[in-house]
Amino acid sequence: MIPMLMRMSLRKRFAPAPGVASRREAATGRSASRRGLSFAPHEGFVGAAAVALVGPPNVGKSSLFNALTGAYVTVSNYPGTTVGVSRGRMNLDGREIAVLDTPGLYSLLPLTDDERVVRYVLVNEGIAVVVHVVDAKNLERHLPLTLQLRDAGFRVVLVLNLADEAERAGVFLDEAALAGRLGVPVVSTVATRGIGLEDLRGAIASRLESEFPAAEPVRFPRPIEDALAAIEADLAATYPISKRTLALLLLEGDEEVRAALAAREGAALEPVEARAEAARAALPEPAPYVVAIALRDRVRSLLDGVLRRPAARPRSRTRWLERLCENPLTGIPIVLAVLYFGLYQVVGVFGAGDVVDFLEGTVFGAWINPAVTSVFERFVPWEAARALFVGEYGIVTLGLTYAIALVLPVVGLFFLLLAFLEDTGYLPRLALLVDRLFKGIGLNGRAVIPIVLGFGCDTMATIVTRVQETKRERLITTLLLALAIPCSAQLGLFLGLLASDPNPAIFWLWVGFVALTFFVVGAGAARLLPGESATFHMELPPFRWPRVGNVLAKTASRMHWYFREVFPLFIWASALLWIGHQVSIRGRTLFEWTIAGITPLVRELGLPDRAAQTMLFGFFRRDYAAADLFAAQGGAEGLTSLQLLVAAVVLTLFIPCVAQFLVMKKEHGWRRTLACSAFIFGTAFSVGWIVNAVFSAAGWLA
Amino acid sequence: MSGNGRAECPLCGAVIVAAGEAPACNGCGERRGCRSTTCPTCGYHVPEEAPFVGWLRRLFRGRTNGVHGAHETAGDDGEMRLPSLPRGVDAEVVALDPGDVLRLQKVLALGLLPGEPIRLVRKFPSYVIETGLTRFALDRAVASAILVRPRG
Repeated sequence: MIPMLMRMSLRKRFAPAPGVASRREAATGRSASRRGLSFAPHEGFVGAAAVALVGPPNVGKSSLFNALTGAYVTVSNYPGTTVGVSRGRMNLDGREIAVLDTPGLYSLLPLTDDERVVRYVLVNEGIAVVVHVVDAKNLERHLPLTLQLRDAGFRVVLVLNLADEAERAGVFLDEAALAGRLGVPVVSTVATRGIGLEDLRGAIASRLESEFPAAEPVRFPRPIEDALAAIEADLAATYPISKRTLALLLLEGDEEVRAALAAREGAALEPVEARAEAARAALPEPAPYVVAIALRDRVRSLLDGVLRRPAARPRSRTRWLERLCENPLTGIPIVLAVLYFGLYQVVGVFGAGDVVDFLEGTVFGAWINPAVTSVFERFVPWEAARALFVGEYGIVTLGLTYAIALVLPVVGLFFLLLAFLEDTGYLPRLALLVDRLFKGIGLNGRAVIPIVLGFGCDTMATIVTRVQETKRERLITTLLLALAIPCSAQLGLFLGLLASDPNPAIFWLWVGFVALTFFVVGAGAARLLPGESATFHMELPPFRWPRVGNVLAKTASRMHWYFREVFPLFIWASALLWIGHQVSIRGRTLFEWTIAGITPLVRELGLPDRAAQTMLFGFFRRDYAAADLFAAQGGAEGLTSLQLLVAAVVLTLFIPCVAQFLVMKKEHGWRRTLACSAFIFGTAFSVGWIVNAVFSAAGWLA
Repeated sequence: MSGNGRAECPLCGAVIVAAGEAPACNGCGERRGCRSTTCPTCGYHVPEEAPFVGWLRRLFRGRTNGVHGAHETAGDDGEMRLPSLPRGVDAEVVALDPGDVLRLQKVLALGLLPGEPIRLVRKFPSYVIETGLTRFALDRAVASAILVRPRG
């Protein structure tokens, strides 16, 4: 992540950065923990004023970022959808100020790679103003971080977002009094409606200019205070954040901070570490516990007389629906209904059926492709060049057609559905329902984020595995995404394909075999990989009615990303297929040689030889292969129900698309990626072979 | 013979390798490429376990998730772990189990400190709690780290 952050920031810092900047960064980045904090301003840092938005997930940081910068990024009512750092710019009284949106942060002592990224940005990017965004309803829960940020030496602005929800809940706050006690300007906002933004701009501007009167830092119990004072005096080098904060993090056992301090202080850190160790030993409880209690007590005294809470718990208007979604008896039918109507009816039947038929058959089949082909035939005399663009595997006739007509509508509708679900706050309920089930495959409920996203795009989902806490979980999720989660393009096509078969049973058999593989492989991986399942905890936000603008903006930014990352791969795939078709060795093209190589395997599966070509396409993109299969089914070589089932199972499980393979390599390195790929290849064929052998022997689906 | 776990002689049951120690092999004179351990009690040659045997063992062993004492009975002062709290009862966090620091940090990140109000609203499929105006879903391991006492 670090070198990439550097380069990205050079390029992006002063470019108008849409949300896609974060995507790209995320796509190419690695975990911050790999190199850790360095305390050096990173190259490319030019000392310009930059504002960072930090805070817990799901309090509206991204909405606020949109409102301040006018750019769109993904906003959601679901923790963990901002991966990496988005950069934008805002205009403040004629000055251009860089604004950074960061993933969720609960505390300066990080638990996940995401939190480490935020801390890295805060420490190393020379942030002028830190805007701490919190949920106004739960102020006391979030104020400890405000205090930590303030005591670290940042110029903090506290934003109480979702002020309308707080008001409805009966929470009232004397902002001015709190600001005075805290030593930090306080602003209330409703980011989604643009309320309070001018106040926030004003607060940021004044924070850039002037110092707020320094506040007394939070005091801790005796052994900690003594150690902090001693360690502060011992640290010789200069640091971008307060030595008191560094000393505290060291005391709390933060390995990353220890390593970074050791790099700066050298051997002088040894007595300091010994002092920290002695202080830890003198404490009755673990240091983070003692620190948290001291912070909480300070927060309570700060809020005393400033905050008025409702006497009785207000009844949420959507509580009944929340209960229905959380109760497994009603929640599971709701999940199935969402899957059936959302995924099957909207994405599958409407998207992969009606929209694709129109785009592929009419727009491309009848208008664009014939027109382009006739132009090429008239003006390009060289046959090979014509084939590159308009041949059987041409960039226009194959690449462009597949990307726009077959894949785009399906992916687009899926992202729209997902954006809607995210903004309602439904997904955490899904996490809650599946947590126990996922424990069996070495994951926890949190893994529904990448898994559900995987049904949209596995490549994007592989990046989102960063919200997971352990390497072990990230690896299991990555493997399962690559193996058994069909992306929306595949899904749409398979749904259409399987639904068109006269035997309705094969659809359920396909679902069954893929799900079985998912759980068997997951359970195996959970047992084989060392370590334990990480524990699960997640905030359940109240249901909110999504705003159309936000849903559309989010869908648009994901589509934008999809186009940038995936579209070129279709073109490359066409070009590679073209090369394979043009270059021949000993009378056979490369393509024919490869197909000849795969054909025995394909026959082993009981599939017609043409399926070898489909498998080859599968190396370039899984959905590409599905699209080819789609074409094959309508052709003269109509497949039997069993063949269709076997082909669909194998292709679903098959080697991931090129983009996903590359992302896996970036996130996990070559060794693990190649091992996963070999395993996936073997599993896909084995499952397909077994299904074919069993069903053929029994004479089912003949 | 390598490995950190405790090992017993399959023939006579004597402990050959105590956990975390080198085997108490009585030696056979061979210095290199030794693939077996000789039981000091009965002299049986125990072959070294091939790596894949360990894999298979792990594959078929049930997993444990390190949750202990989740159902301890309530103490004299009405203190109990969160999973034992009846649903819908208003309670207060009285302490956190500092056993596992990482798990403790998660509970701290949720802001569930001693003195905070807490109410359990669901136990299955996950634990759902309300504290102040916030709802959280927790699993059993996290819930067990929270000690509570009913109010009133």
